[in-house]
Amino acid sequence: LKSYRVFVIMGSRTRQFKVVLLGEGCVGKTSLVLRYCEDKFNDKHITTLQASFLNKKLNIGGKRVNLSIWDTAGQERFHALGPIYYRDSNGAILVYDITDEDSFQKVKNWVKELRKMLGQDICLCIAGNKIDLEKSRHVSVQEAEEYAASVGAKHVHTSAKLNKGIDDVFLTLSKKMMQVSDEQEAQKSSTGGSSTSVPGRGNSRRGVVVISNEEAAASEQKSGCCS
Amino acid sequence: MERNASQSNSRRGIHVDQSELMCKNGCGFYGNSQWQGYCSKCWRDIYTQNQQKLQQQIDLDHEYAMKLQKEEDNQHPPPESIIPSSNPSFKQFEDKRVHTKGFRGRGFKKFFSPSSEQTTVSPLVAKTKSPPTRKRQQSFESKRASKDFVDFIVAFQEPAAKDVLKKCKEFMDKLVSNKENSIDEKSDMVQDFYQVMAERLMSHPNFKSYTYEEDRNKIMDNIEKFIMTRIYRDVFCNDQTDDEIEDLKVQTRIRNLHWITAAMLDANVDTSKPFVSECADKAITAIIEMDSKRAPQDKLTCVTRCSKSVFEAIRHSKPDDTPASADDYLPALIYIILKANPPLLKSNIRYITRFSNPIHIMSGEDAYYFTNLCCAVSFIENEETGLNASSLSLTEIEFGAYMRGEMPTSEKSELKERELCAGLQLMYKNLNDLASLHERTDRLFDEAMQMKKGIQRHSLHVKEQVEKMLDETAIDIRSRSSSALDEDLFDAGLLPPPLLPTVAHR
Repeated sequence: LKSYRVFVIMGSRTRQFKVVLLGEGCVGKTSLVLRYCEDKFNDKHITTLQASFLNKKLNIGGKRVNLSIWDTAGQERFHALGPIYYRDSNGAILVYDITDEDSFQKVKNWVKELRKMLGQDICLCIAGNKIDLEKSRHVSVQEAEEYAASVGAKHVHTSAKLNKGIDDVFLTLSKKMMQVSDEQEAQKSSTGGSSTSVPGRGNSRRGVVVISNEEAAASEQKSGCCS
Repeated sequence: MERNASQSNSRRGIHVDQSELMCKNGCGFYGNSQWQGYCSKCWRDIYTQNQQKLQQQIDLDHEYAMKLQKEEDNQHPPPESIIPSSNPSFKQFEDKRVHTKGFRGRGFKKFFSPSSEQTTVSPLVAKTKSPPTRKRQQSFESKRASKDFVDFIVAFQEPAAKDVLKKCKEFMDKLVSNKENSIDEKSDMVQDFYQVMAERLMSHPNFKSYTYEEDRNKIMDNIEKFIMTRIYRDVFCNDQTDDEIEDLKVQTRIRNLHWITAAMLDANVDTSKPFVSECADKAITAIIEMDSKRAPQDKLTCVTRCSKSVFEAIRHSKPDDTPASADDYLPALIYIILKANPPLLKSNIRYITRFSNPIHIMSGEDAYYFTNLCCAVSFIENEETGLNASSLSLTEIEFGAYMRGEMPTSEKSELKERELCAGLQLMYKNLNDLASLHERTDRLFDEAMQMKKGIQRHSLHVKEQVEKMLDETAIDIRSRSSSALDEDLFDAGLLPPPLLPTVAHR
């Protein structure tokens, strides 16, 4: 009796998005997120005790966005736990190491799995990390970009060391997630979802949360069943 | 000596000081943790005392509510004397009442009025409904929750407080009247209620003064805490479900995996360092404590506290000072859970999933740690894709041998050595020292004995030699007679008379 709850927040001034970081161990997921949230790389003065869960507040076009970034264990033996991590997430950043062909293959596997489990509801962004090691590149730019386009994901080259492309990854993904959530909202209101009526629905729907600062916020729910 | 050490290895448990076993009252009997460290007699006294205190407080609340109601009817200003001066929130609340008289207090009345006036008697909302003489037996926790909840809503502004109370009461009645529902239906009801309340808090005019999200979340948290504490016994580890079987399965599985070390899991937890092992102990305590909490949010707090301690442990185990990533965190958490073997693990997780306000388990830090706990448990449970020989980089044969407890003892004790706590390690070191000291004393004793023998032999030898020498040289020591040659002659008068001088004339 697994219950998958879908977390949809709409019509609120602050949008809450859950973003999972996926990728093989050693591709630099942690450095990426640390650079993004703390603007630090291999620094002694990192204030956070851990880099596995971080919040980042953004302002995109006057709209406030709150990203919860969930790091995932990249070791192969934890691969089967993926679904527990990425359920209910709005976006995923798939990280690979440009010097490591295998890690790119892993990204492909992840994409396949995510699309199978969550369909088009999840926004994807592929990050080719470690471009400071361009000399020993093993994944061709063309191949990576073509693949990303074919699965409807954005591809960005990043380097945590040189602080390149990091903001771009998260900003691109955030914009995409906003777009998707706007679309979903529009769809819901057109199908006649009303916000103030007391829900008298059946048992199919579970655990939907609406956070809104506006008086008559549109509250939407979605029956979530992704397994 | 070695045999002894390995025996005590296997019997390794929690060390409890003798004094901690005694009743906290110091009456000389043994205490029990179930009775918060008191002996049965002292605990009974304290418990009834607490019950009475609580009952008094409840009665006070009840009395107060009745008074309010009476005043309402009489349209008289309330006499000052009935307001408990110790409680400022009551006073505040009271003042507000005086200013804005109107249609209100009905909610309070209904909530506080004794069950005789009640049309539907709900055993779950029995707190203030029944007079003390025929009150339904309620657990200490339920009473506490009710008291906390009343304290909380009393601090509210009037219409909001009334509204929340009314809604909660209605919901409790509904739950009771649907007692036969399955656990999932109950879960749906609770989730629906959260949803309705969240929407109500946002849109209803009664709550228009609560514009901040934090305020609303606080109200929601209190509602959740109140309701869940009350229905906990009915819905936690319910016998309609297979929760209990699953709990036992996980527990047995973890017990069979007792031999796993941090190194096997690649967990960065170096328990040989005292500080790290302290953090690990804290984490273990926190995750075990989860079972003792009732409200889902309190259980989640325990998970978060456990995780924070895990991160602390990782940070002090890592050679470099980089913050712990998920790659470090998950294996360490798995290791902690294996070492803790928390009670009713599955039931707790399912209970949180079913009845927590989704806001707590879908977003935010608590949600992340809870998700990781789910991951860890799923990894431990799953023999095919989770914890097995290959994920520990062992061969199937080795894994099987470990599972059957057939691994050679030398390796076992060596492995165990690493996970012992500092105190035990010191003890074993001291034991070893004592053993070697013992050996040395023995050797010393032996040597002393040998030396003694040597000395004896030597003296004998000397004696022999002397005798031999004596025999060879054969000096006949005569008696003293030889030294007094003329003694006898003297006595006998046999001596010739002394020679007289004579003059020689020639």
